Amino acid sequence: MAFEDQSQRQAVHSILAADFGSVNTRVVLLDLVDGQYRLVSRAQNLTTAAPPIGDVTVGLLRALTQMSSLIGRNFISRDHLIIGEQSDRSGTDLFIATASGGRPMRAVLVGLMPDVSLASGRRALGSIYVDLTDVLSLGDIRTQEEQVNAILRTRPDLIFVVGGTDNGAEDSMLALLNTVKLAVTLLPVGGRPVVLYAGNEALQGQVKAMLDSEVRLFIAGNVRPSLEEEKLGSAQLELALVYGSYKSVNPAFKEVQGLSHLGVLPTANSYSVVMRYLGELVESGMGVMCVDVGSSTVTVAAAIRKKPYISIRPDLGLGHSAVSSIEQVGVENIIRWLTFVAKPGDVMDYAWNKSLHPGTVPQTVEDLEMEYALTRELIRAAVKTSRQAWQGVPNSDLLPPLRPIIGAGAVLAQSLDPGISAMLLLDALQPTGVTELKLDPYGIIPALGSIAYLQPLAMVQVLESGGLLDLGTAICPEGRTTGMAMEVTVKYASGRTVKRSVPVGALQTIDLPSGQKATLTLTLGRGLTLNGRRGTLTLNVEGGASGIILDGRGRPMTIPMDIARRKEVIPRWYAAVRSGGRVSDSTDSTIMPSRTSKEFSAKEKA
Amino acid sequence: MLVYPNASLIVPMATIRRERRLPPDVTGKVLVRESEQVDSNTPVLSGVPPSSYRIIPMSPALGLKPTAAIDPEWIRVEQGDRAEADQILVQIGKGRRAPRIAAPVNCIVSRIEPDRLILQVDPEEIRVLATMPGTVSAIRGTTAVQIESYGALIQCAWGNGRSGFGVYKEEPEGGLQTLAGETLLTTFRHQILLTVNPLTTQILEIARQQEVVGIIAPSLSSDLRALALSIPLPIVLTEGFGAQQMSEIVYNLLRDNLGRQTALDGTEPSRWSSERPEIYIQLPRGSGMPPQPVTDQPLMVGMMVRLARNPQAGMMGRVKRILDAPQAVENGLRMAGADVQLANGQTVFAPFANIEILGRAPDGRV
Repeated sequence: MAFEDQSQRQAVHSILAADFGSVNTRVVLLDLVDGQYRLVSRAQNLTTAAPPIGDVTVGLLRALTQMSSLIGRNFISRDHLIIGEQSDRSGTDLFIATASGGRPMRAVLVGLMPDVSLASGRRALGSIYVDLTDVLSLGDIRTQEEQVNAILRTRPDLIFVVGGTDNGAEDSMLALLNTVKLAVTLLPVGGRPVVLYAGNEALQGQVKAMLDSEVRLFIAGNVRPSLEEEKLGSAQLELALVYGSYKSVNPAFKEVQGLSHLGVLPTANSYSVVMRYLGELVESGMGVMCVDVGSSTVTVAAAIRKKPYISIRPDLGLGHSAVSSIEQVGVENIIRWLTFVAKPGDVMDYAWNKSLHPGTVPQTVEDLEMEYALTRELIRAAVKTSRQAWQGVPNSDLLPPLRPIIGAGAVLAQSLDPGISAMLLLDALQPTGVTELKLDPYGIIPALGSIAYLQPLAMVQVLESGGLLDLGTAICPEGRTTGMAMEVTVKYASGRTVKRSVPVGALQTIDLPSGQKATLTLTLGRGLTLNGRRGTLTLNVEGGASGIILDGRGRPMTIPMDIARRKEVIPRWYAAVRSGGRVSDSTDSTIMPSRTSKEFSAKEKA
Repeated sequence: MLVYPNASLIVPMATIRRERRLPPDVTGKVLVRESEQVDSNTPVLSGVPPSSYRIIPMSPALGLKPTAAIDPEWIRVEQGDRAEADQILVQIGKGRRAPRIAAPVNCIVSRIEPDRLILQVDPEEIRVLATMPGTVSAIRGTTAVQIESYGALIQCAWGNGRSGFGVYKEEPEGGLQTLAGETLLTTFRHQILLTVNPLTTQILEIARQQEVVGIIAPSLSSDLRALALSIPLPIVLTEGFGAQQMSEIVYNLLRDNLGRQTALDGTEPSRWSSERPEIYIQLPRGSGMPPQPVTDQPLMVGMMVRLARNPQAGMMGRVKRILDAPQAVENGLRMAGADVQLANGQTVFAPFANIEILGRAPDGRV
């Protein structure tokens, strides 16, 4: 799979991309406007993978009907997608599909050492939607009989074999491969798993000889060519292909698989492609990251020092995975974000009910707080997992410099206010220094990443033309102090200046619309640093929907343990980042009460 | 713009067709014929799940060096043979003291390799029950049958993975604890207990002791989920977890049919399956065949719907207006949705995502 020849792009005017999530199917249309690809329309409908419908095409056609009614352009003829744009502008030149929904592949990981090849194998598997059902390793104390029965019992869709540095251990690997061979050959021919080998490259010939006639065998480059080096790219690419072939045999995806120019790609793969591209644009030493919070999974894609990383946590999610999410992050970590009294049982009741109705949305303030609390902790947990693979980055509590950080998923994209989305990202990730925050409000990254394989220019042009929403620039000093965290002077391009004081523990925003720049002079409170510097600093910042976000809460951030204090503080944070609560360039630095804080206090009284 | 909400079926009279199938990977056979009448407890399918294997290295088992070659003459079975426990599979020479390998369990000789035997342990047969009374209306290969019945259907939120059949009876107004001694022992024995209050440990314990056939309740604290799963009788929750009350439409439907034969399918909802726990109340069909519940239809004005989230969780209403523009809900989120008139006359805005259709025709009839 590689980017297609650029010369073909002239023929492509319109591109339709569908992303099949666990709950929703999202469709975006890109088209040439004045010679540039632009996002023209989007629509969504419930995913129809499950019975009684059991065919994602139905949900796709419904979303397209919705899109047609919005833009007056037809995409369907006799219940089929029109491929090839017609003279009346009906249809689309390209159709691309990605999926994160549906049952993940059941996978067994086979490798030698837990901290070496198996760790790399797990990280490679983190790029697709898998349920890791068993791990066989050199240190496995089970007998071969027990290992074989374990494989047979879990009925994996994939056996992923890693292990051995190049030209390294052979005998141990061959012993494990013999167990794999025995297990797969005991399964009926039609029910055998795919085997992907990404171990010692010197053994590739023998692996082929052992398994090629028994199973569908994929071979990738060694994930661990040496003890010091990890190379996941080749294995992740093959895993994406394996995932596509897995989806193609799923009856619910069969028709879409045939319609899509690239089959059905894993959504996470698209995130990886887009991050890889954005990672090339940032200055050296910086990284970029995107977090997608879904119903079933949380995906973290990053490019750190220009190296792409992707990880999926199938046990984390706001809907289908709500219960396992809370089990993973701990109920007390959810409660610490709530401004009302909730017992652990209340949180678990919420999670169980959400898992029974994963597509529903919160209507009450309490439910929304619960959803936002969970979002923060899911992002935190998913990024913690992801960064274990980031090379050259100390594994401390604080993030390395990231610019931008992109939020995706309905909870962030359709939050109360862009400022709330920004705050959720700040609360969860606690970035330090100067960070640009962006949002994928239209769910466009899954489309762009897959389109890049066929029309890379479309990805570039849509990203550059506002496909992502600029939330703004966050200024997040590190350390602790008392009194004032920051004294800030903003000088707008018009020459006007605004001064602000940000007390310790406060969050403030200053208007700076998207596309505009300003010069920021700030004096940090004693004990605080920004990008390693103390005292007075001058920065050039870019605006966004939330303007400039001044985070005076220090790093690491402290959340009040006392409920009375939380009731006081957290609503202020909500109020500060909402459009209504933003400090404009002509008012004093008092935090304006917003509807949010009024709602919260009304609820408390009730 | 057409919106297709999720469905949560609550229908007073419908033709109900449900497929019963063997688990994936299980090979089996159909035990009933098309048009055959079945009860809830009638086995309709039987099958053999994949079983485990035993790997027997022959040389060590015969007391030889691990590398010693095996003479094919010693092997007394062939690949595919069925062997009973203790049956001799391999023996060197003759006589009672001759080195031998006996079958450790009843098994099938799956493979004979030069140095080892691979035996498939005799699998235990599993049986799939009809779980609702009706007629076998279709047979699909050797792994699935369709049962057809007529009556009321209530899709529930949660079940404890068990199914059962019986007549249901409502708990007294003050709760089970108001019944004492002998009355408590006999009132619900062999019956399904219907309670309109959230389940408690006490009710679960009483039900366990009193040979209750099943429990229909609105809700249960998630803390008690593990206990509910361990109780060997079907439990279905109509609303979900926490302290939710039974929605009026569900209660009314159950109250109208008190004393009727009812099947509880307590399927535990799974992330990867669309099957839900259900209550079927068998009703006489009368003349004509009632329609099937409509599970996939666009939201329409006049349609009866159920609201799935607080502050109206479990409430029923009629769609009054489908709105073109997103509206704000209590917490300030703006979402596309519809105005729904509740039974008490109040009209509320509900996001489409929180609306469930009931499987009835738009005019409210099934």
